[in-house]
Amino acid sequence: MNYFPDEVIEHIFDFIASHKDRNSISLVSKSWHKIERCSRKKVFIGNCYAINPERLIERFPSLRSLTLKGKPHFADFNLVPHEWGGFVHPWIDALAKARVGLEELRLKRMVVSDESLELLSRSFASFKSLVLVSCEGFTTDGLASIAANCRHLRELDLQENEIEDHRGQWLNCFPETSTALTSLNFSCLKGETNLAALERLVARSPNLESLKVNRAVPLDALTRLMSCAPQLVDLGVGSYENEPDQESFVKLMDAIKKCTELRSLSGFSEVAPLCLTAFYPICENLTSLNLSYAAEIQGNHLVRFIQFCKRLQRLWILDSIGDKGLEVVASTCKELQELRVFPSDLHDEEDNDTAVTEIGLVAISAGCPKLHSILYFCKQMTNAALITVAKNCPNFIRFRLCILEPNKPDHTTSQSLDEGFGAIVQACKGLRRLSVSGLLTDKVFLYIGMYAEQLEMLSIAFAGDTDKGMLYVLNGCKKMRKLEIRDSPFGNAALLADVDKYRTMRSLWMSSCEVTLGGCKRLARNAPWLNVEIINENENNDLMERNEEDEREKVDRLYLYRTVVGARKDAPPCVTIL
Amino acid sequence: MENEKKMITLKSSDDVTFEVEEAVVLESQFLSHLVQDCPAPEHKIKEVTGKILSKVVEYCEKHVVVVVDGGDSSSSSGDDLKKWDDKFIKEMDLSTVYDLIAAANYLNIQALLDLMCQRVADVITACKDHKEIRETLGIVSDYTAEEEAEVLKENEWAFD
Repeated sequence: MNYFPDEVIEHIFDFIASHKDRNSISLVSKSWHKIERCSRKKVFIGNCYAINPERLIERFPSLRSLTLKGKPHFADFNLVPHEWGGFVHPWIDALAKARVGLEELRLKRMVVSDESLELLSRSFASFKSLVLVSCEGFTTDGLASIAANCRHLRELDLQENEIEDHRGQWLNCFPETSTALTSLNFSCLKGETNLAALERLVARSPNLESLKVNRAVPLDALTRLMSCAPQLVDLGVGSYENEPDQESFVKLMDAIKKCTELRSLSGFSEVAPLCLTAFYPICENLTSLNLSYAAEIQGNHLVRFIQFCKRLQRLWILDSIGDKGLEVVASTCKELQELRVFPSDLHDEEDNDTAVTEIGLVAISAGCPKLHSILYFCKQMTNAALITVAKNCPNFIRFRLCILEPNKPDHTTSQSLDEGFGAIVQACKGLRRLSVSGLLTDKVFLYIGMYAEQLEMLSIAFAGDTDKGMLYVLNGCKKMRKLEIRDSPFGNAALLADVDKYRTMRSLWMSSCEVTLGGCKRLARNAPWLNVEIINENENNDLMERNEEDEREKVDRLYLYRTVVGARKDAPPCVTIL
Repeated sequence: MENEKKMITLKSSDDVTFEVEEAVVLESQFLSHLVQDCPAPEHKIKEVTGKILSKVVEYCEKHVVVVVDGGDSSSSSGDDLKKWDDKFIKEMDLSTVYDLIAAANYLNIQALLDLMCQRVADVITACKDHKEIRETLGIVSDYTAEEEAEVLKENEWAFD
């Protein structure tokens, strides 16, 4: 092996794709490290402040595809200030200056400016794919630059971004020569859409497989789009507001019938109650259905539709489907692997009779043997139900249960849900992600620490009694990468017990806990390789100047992560890095 | 084809001879050029032993036959070939794989090189970590402990 020329070894490496395996290769020997780093095309960075662009480019000069993640996950629940950071501009700037041949960029929870998008669009001649998930800071002007300048663009996927919509003609900016699109998703855009430009673009994109439009695309436009793109595999419907007259309904139905490749359906943010009937002809083919935006589709219509969706592997839905509806899912969708049930905004606190309960969860666990991932917002839960679920579905790798009301006990026994979650972690040996909720004592964390050997991410809210709870998790879960905690009584003793644990974790988030400024300072002193960030939006932020008295003051939000490049320089005034 | 197939003799470094059809030789870029430039009836390949050359010939003969027969590109012949490839490498020990990589690289037979490199890649990805890769493939590390720790840290902290 050692005597092979570098090209042959590189050729062997060509067949090795995963980050984990590539990382292992780089540790085998110095010559392997060099061959690997000069040939790695895909790079994943789970925290953009763990390293910097210069170090990235120095190590992987041939990279083509970059995935970067910015803000902590709790940003999804508005716990991270807008100006916190996660700016992509320095990365694009450095990649452009180094003349890296970037082709794909995937960003999650990062700040992207129009200037960044403009620079991106002009700097990389072979750029093909831009995926932005939960990003902010840009407008449709930036998208216009991408459309106009990225001549080889295949994928533009905008998921859950906050985009200022200038009602610009960005769709019109795709040049007539642009025919390579395979995937276009602008469902999160709020403003007008240039329908003529969209239709022309779709018509000249014979390889388009995924199209997700926004609410400004009406029904008749959808009919035309589908007629000229019968090859679509993945469709996101925009507005289906008016019940069409008989003639246009027939036209729509015809167009849908011709989409025999269609496997995934989503969207329907503005809908009429009966909109799903048009999709009956293809529902048997569907493997993925996301109606989590379709707040206006009534439960009974959903249920009638799902009765025909026998092949669904993934279902995202609102809780308006009800327990009865979930029973239908359970008896219909035998291939189901992933289920998410979101709370609908339609019913408020006193009127949440439609919300789902333990009954729906038990039904799903009994009926769907292939289920491995669940996110379940519900109004109540029992230990008995969770124990049954654990027995029925030992294959869970993701189990996220959100009981809407904090600290809610088992409503039949008034006890904590410790035993129920304990049963889940004990039965599901492969569990990697867990969110717990409801009334929970330290005991649940004892179970988690004891049994959840593969757990990589744990979300805790309103749970536990003492530092012991958090310590059970830190000491027990050897594979833990991300731990996020809010509104729980864990303090300095837990935080400081084993500083070296944070060498093995990507990050720890604690907000509204018992951790004090003094404790955070001690942590920062003991672990200089750690960035210890205190986030405080309200008061004057000169935390370093505080006297002894203030050392005992609780910190509002703490975010800490390991880094190979030291403290970041772009922190806003509300962030102090100790 | 009415006319008789042209035969060529290949002789390994240890003087084992193989008589093969010209089409088989054409699977190798290196040999195609050799045969064209020097139309002798016998070619000595000093870099490849008889044991390995017999494997190379076996591979090329199989692939020529299937490609010729499967002129109408029926998919079953592709599947059969894949099955044959799988069987071909299945029982092969690593040192034979290495020798075949060296031979395929020297003789410039891309498909055989790909197949063998894929096999080594599969061995690597089946390993738990870098230490197991070293052990399995018999590679001696030239890292100092500090250097290795530094790479490990960057891998885990930044590129996880």
